[in-house]
Amino acid sequence: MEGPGNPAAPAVDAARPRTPSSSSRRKKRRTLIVLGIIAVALVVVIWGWSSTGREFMDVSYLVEAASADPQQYLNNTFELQGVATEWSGPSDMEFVLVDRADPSKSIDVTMNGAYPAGFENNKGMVVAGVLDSVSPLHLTGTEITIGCASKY
Amino acid sequence: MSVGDYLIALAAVCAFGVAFVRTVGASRWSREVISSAARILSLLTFAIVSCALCFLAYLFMTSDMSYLYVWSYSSSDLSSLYKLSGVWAGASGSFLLWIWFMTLVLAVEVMLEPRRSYLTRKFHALFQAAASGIIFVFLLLLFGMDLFAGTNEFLLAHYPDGWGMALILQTPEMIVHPPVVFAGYAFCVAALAAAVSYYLSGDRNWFMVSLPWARLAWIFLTLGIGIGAVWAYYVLGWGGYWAWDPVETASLIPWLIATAFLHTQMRHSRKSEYGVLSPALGMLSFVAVLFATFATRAGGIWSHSVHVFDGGQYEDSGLDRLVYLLRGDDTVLGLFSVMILMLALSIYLAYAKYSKTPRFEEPPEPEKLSGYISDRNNMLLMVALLLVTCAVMLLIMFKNVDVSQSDNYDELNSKMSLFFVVLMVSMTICLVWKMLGKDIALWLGIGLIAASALVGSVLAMADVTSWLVGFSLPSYVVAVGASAVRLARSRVAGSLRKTFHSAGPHIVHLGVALILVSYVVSSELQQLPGEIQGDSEPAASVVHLGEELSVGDFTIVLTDLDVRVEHMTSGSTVISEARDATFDILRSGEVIREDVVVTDLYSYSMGSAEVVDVEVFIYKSALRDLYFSFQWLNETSVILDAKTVPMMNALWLGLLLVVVGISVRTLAWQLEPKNTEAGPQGGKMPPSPKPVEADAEQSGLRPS
Repeated sequence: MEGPGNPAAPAVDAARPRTPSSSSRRKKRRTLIVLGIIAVALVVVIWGWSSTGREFMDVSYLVEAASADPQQYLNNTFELQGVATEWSGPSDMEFVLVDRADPSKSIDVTMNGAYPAGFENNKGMVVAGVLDSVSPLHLTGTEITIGCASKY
Repeated sequence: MSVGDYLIALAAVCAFGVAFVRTVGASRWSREVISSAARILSLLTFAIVSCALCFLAYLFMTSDMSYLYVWSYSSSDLSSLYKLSGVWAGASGSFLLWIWFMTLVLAVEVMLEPRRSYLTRKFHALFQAAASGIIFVFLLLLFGMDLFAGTNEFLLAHYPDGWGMALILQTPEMIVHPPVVFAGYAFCVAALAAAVSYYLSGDRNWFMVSLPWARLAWIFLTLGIGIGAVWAYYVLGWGGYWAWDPVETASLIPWLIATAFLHTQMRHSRKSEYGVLSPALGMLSFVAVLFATFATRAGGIWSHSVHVFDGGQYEDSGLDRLVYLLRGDDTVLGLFSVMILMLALSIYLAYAKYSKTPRFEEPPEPEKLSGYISDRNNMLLMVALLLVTCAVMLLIMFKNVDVSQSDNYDELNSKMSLFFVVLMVSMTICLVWKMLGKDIALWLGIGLIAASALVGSVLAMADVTSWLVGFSLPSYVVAVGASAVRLARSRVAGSLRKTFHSAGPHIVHLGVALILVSYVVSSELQQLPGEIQGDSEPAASVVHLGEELSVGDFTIVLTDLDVRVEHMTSGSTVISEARDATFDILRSGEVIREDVVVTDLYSYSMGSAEVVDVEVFIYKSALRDLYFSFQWLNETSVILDAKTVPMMNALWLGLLLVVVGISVRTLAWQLEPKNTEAGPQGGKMPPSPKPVEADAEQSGLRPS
């Protein structure tokens, strides 16, 4: 008798005889379980793989895309990958974010948030902010992420 | 080549020697000769790697800048403690530390061999061969890293006192975090070696070796993640403690697999179940550790990782970046190869074991759904869920190689919550079914899932607060309650040891549930600043002198701003300026802290400025932390980054409970009285729990 405080021990009875009907029932149940597992796995894979995220954008991509179709990009939020330049010091809230591969492409950034520790010129970083002008390109930054200092 | 290189080479020869005599030598020499040779070589490996580590520490303590590694991560002006922590501040030094911990495992097992007479000689031989084989490969990888390379004259001429350790790394957390992480990684090698030995020798008392090491590894993995979170929150000023960064996610995977492994080990040791899966999980825990290291070393694959080591590559796709890294970095290639090899080996050995395992009749089919609830099935469900959680985490990690940080965080945060909810519901059923009965336990589980779906949907539609809180909290809170009840009922009359043994897992469960509750609340219910009081610019975070900023029931008043000239050096960094902002902090209108000075440090070198350190101020209260830092604008105003973070104390308490719980369980298990009766393998019985019965069939029980 099972119940509170009297759980059944895992029953393993090698001597139990198998009847044809129980064997067929087991086969059916196993097939159902296998099909169920496959279905759940498929759902999990499709759901897990379903893309919801925006990709990082390089400065050069935004420069070209925003020039071609300004209205699509204006007043939208972006996370831009690039290298900081022309920053003069702690009170300077403006700098230029240059593309990592093509230094001729750049965007002016005005920060409306704190600079993180490690921020300096010629450092790669990601700037999150709103593109509020297309001509010339200008981003109001809200957050900067730079690499973790740990190297172990 | 320096002394250090010779030591590494010599240690590699010794480790290879152990693997050789324990495998090839077995058919050529007598047992006594093999055993003695293996013992001497194992202890020599440990001693030589210890010497290499001590030599590196000596170089750091004496600031010998002629070594590039010392020059890169230290400077003459560092305090002794931070000089010592420079040993593991870089990739190759921390690799040496990891190897040292693995040689420690090998040495301990070799020393304990005579006392572990309940294990077969074959098991000991295979264990030592597997562990020393891994150590040998790691030593070869370390040799390739050129840890003891010299510093070139140009660097020495420009920075004779060393490049120095980043100021942000000069914290107590940095001293402790890497050794703890690598100790956890290293102890997983015991699970791998014991699992391989079990697969090849069939010695079913293998858990007597794997279980204590796995528990130790789990303690250190937990502490490693916890200290990393503390460091991110209190020191780095990232405003959070968990960002689902690829390196963080990768570090959670070995923890989850080790958790599944510990659960299967418990059933394996008591009921001889999981004879195929448990050792596979032991091996996978080490594979996962390799993956975590690979993800750290190869951070550039994930463009959004803040742990990128190499500055990132410009290749378009993650696959291109992987190929670039494998081609350009021998260590990454080596780690990747070992990881793939170990994964393939674990799959092969598990399949070979499975195919040789006799089939048994299944238990009778239960009449109703609740009849499926049993210790055996519950554990199977938990293990399956832990593995599926890992699989989905990996899937999303690789899918998101190019996705932005914030979207990666949002996706993992929301998608993983489903798995955490299901895990907590399953855990609750496991905890309460013997108290409440199977039917009530089942209905409780269904009710919790329904409550999660309902509350989450209502909150999402009403847009009142985060739907994730409504979705997660019902099951998390009930899991906390169920764990607390089980903990309260775990007293065993007349035996303190048995009480601790019984209470340990419930303390862990309580800690895990508490962490999940506080995680969802602290990440979803943060309060951001309201309107600026007084004449101010429209930007909510710009505060002028005399103005105040409200965050929840806290008010921050800017009272003073000051610029100071500093003359501090830290290796190559010359701190030349400090900017202080002074604040008063009020709560519900009452002053709770006056004249709080928060400082940002700046460096000007070679015409360029750098933000060296941004101080974070955290006012802790029982239920909610006030968390802020500032950005200097001019002599009269700053930008304030402020928020309140709830339930942080509960989060740290949960972490503490997890570590305490598993430590209590481990100690209670180790203190169990020894059983010296004759065992089934010709040796003696293990101390505890009882070894499995002699019929070998049960070891890998699987249904027909």
